[in-house]
Amino acid sequence: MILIVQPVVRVRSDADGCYPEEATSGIQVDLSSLPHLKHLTIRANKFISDKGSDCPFPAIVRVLHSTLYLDSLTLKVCICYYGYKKIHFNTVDWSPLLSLLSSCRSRHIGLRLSLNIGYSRHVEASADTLPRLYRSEIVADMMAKGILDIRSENYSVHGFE
Amino acid sequence: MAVPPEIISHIFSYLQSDPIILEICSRAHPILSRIAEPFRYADIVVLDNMSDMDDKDGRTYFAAKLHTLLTEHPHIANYVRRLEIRVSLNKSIDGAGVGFAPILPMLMQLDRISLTSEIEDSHPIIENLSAEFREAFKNRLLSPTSALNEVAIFSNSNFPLRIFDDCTTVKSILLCGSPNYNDLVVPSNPPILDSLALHDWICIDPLFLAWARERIQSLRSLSLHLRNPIIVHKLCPELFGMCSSSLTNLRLHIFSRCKFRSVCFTFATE
Repeated sequence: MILIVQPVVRVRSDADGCYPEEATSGIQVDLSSLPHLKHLTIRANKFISDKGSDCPFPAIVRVLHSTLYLDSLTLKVCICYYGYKKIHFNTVDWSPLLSLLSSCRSRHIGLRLSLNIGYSRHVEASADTLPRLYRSEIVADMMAKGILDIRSENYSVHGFE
Repeated sequence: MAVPPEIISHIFSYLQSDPIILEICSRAHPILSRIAEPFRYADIVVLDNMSDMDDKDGRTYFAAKLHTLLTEHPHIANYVRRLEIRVSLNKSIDGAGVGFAPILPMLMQLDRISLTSEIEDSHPIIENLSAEFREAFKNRLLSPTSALNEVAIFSNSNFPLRIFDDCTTVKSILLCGSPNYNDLVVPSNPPILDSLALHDWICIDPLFLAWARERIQSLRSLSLHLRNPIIVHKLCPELFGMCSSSLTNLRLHIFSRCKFRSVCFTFATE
């Protein structure tokens, strides 16, 4: 018998998932019917656990694809780690979002980041905690042009700000 | 005092977000105290008298204490522009919110009023609030002589939407938790809204869409903080269609928690 290591990927919804998978995976908000829209703020949560992570970026990308020209785009991303290991926020892959932002039709883009461990512990977003983001060429280029600014903020996963 | 009061007032205006520092400045001299008052009391939080929370942040007051303050110094009521009412969810309190009722008619310069609970992510149940408070709150919203522009309601649903029917001054509404549509009649001349925020709605009723259609044709700002993607799918096209010619500012909260996935690797044999 030959033992072949064949990964079988099982994807399941977390216990928190109270909506059908089809409904959650295909969130589409079409903004093309809003021709006068000038200021768009999108807020999303990204959860990381020891088992894996969930990524809101595809949904954000879908929304942004439907926008026309914007004066300002603000992305507020709350990254939250639940687990017992030493957390590395730097595991987040920003490339899908950054490639979109670089071609985004917005005069200014604000990226607001809130890094949290559990519900209460806040970690400052910086080049130390998120080197993959802060040291990316796209980010450096957009910041140099004054199109993008990144700030660390402190807000909760559930809070309204 | 050598420095003109206007200059000090201007400096204090930058300290409005730091009420503790303002309070410390106020204690330094009676003149400073008077100059600081409009900024100290502009944005305050009021708690149920039996609340377990503390009031040490310089902007939070227990209802009884605030009532005493406003009775003894009635001019302070004119400085209050933004009021957050935090209702206690403590089950042992009968008729939560009783202490708020006598305060509300005193605050005629309010620009914004919000009804929240003292516990984050929990909202007051309207039916549990005392009849006196509910009546005072309603009267405060409907007062035609007020300057009230913005109302934020964080409730565990059942907030009666009809209460806004005759609010002539309110231009901005935030509703957290689906409201109650009972007895909802669209008035012939409803107030037109500039800003609408819908947070954590669990259902959408056609009556709400009829209500919104009459009010948001000139809407400039919309905020949607909805966890249920089915509601997002249903509501967004409807609302966008109603205000497409005016909407310039949109805030969207995209939730992905419900599809939080885990990936398991297993071994297969062949």
